Amino acid sequence: MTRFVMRRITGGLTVLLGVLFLVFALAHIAPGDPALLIMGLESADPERLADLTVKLGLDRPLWIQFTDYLQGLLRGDLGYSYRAQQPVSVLIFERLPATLELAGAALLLSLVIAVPLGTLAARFQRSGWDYVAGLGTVLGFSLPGFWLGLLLILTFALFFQWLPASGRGGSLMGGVVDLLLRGEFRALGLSLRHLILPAVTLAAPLTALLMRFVRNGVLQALGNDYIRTARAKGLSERCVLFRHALKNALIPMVTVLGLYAGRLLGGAVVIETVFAWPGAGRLMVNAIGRRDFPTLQGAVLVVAVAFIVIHLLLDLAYGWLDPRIRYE
Amino acid sequence: MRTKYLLIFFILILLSLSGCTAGESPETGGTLVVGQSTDVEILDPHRHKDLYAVRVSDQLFDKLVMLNHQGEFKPSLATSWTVHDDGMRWRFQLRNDVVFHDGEPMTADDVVFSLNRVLDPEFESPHKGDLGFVREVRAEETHQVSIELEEPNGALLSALLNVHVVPEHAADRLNEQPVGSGPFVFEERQADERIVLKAFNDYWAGAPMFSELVFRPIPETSTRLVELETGRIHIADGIPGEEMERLTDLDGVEVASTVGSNYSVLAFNNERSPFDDPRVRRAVGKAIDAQRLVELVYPGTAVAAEGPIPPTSWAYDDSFEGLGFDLGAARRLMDEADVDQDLSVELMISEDERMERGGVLLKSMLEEIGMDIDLTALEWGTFMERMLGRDYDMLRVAWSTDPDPDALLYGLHHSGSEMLNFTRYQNPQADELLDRGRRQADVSARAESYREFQEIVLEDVPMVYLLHENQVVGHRKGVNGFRPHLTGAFYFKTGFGVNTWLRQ
Amino acid sequence: MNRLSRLDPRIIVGAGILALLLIGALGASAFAPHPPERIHDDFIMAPPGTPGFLLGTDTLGRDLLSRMLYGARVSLLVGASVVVIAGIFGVTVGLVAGAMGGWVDHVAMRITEIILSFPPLLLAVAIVGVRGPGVPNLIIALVVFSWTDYARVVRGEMLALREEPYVEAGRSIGMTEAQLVLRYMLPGVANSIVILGTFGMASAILAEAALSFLGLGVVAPAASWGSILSDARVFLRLAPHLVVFPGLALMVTVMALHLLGDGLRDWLDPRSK
Repeated sequence: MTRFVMRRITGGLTVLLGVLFLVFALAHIAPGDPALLIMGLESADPERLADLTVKLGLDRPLWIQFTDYLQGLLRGDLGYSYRAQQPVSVLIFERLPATLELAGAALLLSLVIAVPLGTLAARFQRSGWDYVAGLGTVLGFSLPGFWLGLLLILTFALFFQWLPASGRGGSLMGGVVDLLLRGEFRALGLSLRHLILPAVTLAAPLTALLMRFVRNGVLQALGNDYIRTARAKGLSERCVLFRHALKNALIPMVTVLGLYAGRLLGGAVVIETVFAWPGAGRLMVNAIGRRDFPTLQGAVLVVAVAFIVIHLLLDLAYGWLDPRIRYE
Repeated sequence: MRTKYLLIFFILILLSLSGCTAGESPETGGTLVVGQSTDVEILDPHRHKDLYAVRVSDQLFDKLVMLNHQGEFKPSLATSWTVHDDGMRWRFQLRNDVVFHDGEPMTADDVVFSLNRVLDPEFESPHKGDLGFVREVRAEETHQVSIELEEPNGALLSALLNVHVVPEHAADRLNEQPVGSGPFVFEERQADERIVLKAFNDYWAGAPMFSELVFRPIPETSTRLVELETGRIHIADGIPGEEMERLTDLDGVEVASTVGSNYSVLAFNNERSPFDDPRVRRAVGKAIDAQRLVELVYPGTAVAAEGPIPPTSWAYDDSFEGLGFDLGAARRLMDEADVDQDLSVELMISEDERMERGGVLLKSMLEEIGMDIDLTALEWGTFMERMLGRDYDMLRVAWSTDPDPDALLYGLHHSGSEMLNFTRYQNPQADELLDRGRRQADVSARAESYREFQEIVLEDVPMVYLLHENQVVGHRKGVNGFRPHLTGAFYFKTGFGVNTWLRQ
Repeated sequence: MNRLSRLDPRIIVGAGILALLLIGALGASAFAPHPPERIHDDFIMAPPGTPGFLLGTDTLGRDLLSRMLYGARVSLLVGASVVVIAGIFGVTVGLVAGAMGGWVDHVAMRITEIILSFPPLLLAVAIVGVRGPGVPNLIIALVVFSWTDYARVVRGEMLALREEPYVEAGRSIGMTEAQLVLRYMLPGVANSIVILGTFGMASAILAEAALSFLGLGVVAPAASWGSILSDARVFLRLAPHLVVFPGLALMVTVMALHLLGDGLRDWLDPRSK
């Protein structure tokens, strides 16, 4: 077990190094000079451009820039943003709570919808209910995110005026603390109201994906002997479905969630833009447009670390979900 | 109770004297929320030069002089200024009642410090280039500053519009905790989310009418419009022209627009065939119907240009006429120039819905004179690199600066401007007029230089001047006494009479 | 029983819709009532049903129906090219890694993990951002982040197939690894590839729309459904048809691909027989 974890950690470090190298290479072979963009069009001047290039260290050979960056990382230094003129770590960590809130809310929402609906769709296979669920699944996959987001804004923010169209209503954790310590629901309410529309938009394709996996997993299990045994033992149908059959769907579901983690954490840029949500995706995409390489590298690194850690945890979770799996 | 009543009465009288909108009694208090398309990352006013950040800095800091909505210079921290030694030295008398947000008084030392900070080569301020002609800045008295120049410069006041005065004693942490003397005090900043400012009650021109000012970045225009319509923000920038009519018809919304200090051009690479031939450049200019471009792509949000100088400028000459749209003349010029029959040229634009729409239209116009246009849309960073690297045939770009004609014209047209003169336009006569316009102090003499300059570029056509874009801003009807400034800045409380208030 | 007679209705519906779209795209020049670039100054954002413009016009008075027919070419081309290129590349990597095992497999899998650790759209954004917008760059960008799916699935199935008795038998009669892979294993994974391909095409078409939204998709004068939709989204209130029709086209196409994929999976799955 320990050996397995150790091996996964070294593997993870190799992957991280690869990610860093890839993003570094991608950034530096790109047309568009960071110094030029920082200088700005209005104050374009060759002397200033040369000064900025030296100041940003962009005149040094690429491999020196890369090794310097790696050395900085080893000291825990993510670098300094060209554009925002702040440490990259500050830029990332001030956006992390919002990113996690949105990802967490979307994940929770899709689990809450997909698990029961998928199970029921499998139980009543080929019923009208199954077809409706199937149609919902396909629909969830097919709506372009920004399209769905704009339609939700028009419906719930403009037409009914039930929910705000954009922004974040303060920290969710802060709201929870307020509720627990002071019995005040206002802050949490405000936070949740802002979270609903972006979370629903982000959750739509994930819900569809999960529903498909849950349905297939449960369906497969229902045909198996152990379910027949369970039924024969006289267990209630609910117990058979949710205890035994659903468990069969868990492993593929967990795998798919792991693969989706990257998308939830860093790939929500379209939804963040539509709802003006202050997350990490926008930070990264803006950094590309502005050639703010330290910010881009830092943010990609943090998302990649999160992704790798999640995968390690998932691999460990397999063992817990399925006792047949042993770690060599 | 009675004192409070009296106080309110007094405030009301004062306000009615300060010239607010007639017929309505102004209210105090409230929170005004501004939604703009881009987040503000840098709060230190000497470290940025982008409009969205300037809108915030203008609330936190003051400048020596300001430009009012008519484009005239007005006193701000400086009450008066005099020119000495044939324009080589300017002397500014400062207000003596200005305090920074931390209670410290503002003195000449702070002004000197601020200017030197911008001029410091180590500091790398993007405004340094605007002040390149300044030799020395000195504090003459506690409230008097003199600026000595390398050579006379008529654009000094305009350049000073970029220099916010910061307190010397609190300059280290301006990016995190900005302290200025402006009408609003910094409260907090949440990245990509909001910047919150509070009214500064000791502001030298009087406290602002509303008590809190919030800037929110909302990048998606459709979302920003919904927020404006539902009243969750009071001011929204970047209103598309197509939406103006619909918004104006709504109950709670008004749209305000000001002709900006900018011009948008179709620029030629003057060194590259076929645009090294002035007849081809002229033919292109005459083949373009700028009015149609405005109507189809900038409906209600731009005016067709005659020359580079926008109508809001004091140098604008309304008798001046540009190339004009004349397809017959354009075709004749093309025949005369005898260019290659299957001529294919690239028109480079930056990736943006309106630029692309305009590009498609320009392409169809130029096809009328037998040019085969290859439209290339590039992301801004790549576009800028190719533009300044002069790696293009033809490109479309908008140029927006300080309103002074020197700032508007010099960089793009003077042969000594190494980088910005990306068309490689070279005409000693034009250079001479630009230099003269820069050195003269007298406004009417300068206007004459720029008038002559416009005649020369009309002859040479280094680029086609297409249009001047407006600053279009939507706001709630409850926002009184507000309109966008011609520079695109937002002023809510100034020494020259702007005093915005909010009806709850 | 005859396999065709049990053909899943989802396959028929999905394939039918796709066939119609393909006909529309290929015959765009015959069906389009106007040249897609023709500007009509007097019909700016005309609503659907305006005489001569069945689906209305866009911000330059160009006929929406014509633009959508030509846009179908671009959208389908992007989707199909991404699937074909990513499929060929991914399957090759998967086959090689699965067949050879050892360090080759190790390296290949690390590379897929590197790609997977990127937020998916971000990698495409970076590549298009770096190389500039345009259809070829768009395809490259989408290929880079989608080939790993094929590689990982094929490799996984290969590992399972290697132990199958018939493969063992082939090996014992002296067939080379390459022969084994081509003769037995490739057909064994073919079903998975086809299914992955249909879903992959759906997500490529959606990814193109998302990139258009970020200003990195197809650029003028070319147009895809995604770029028409994204350019017009500001005018959602004034000219809803510009947002609704391309959005529906995208949705129906992606739905058709998913129906087809779902149907194929059940139909091809030996366990469901």
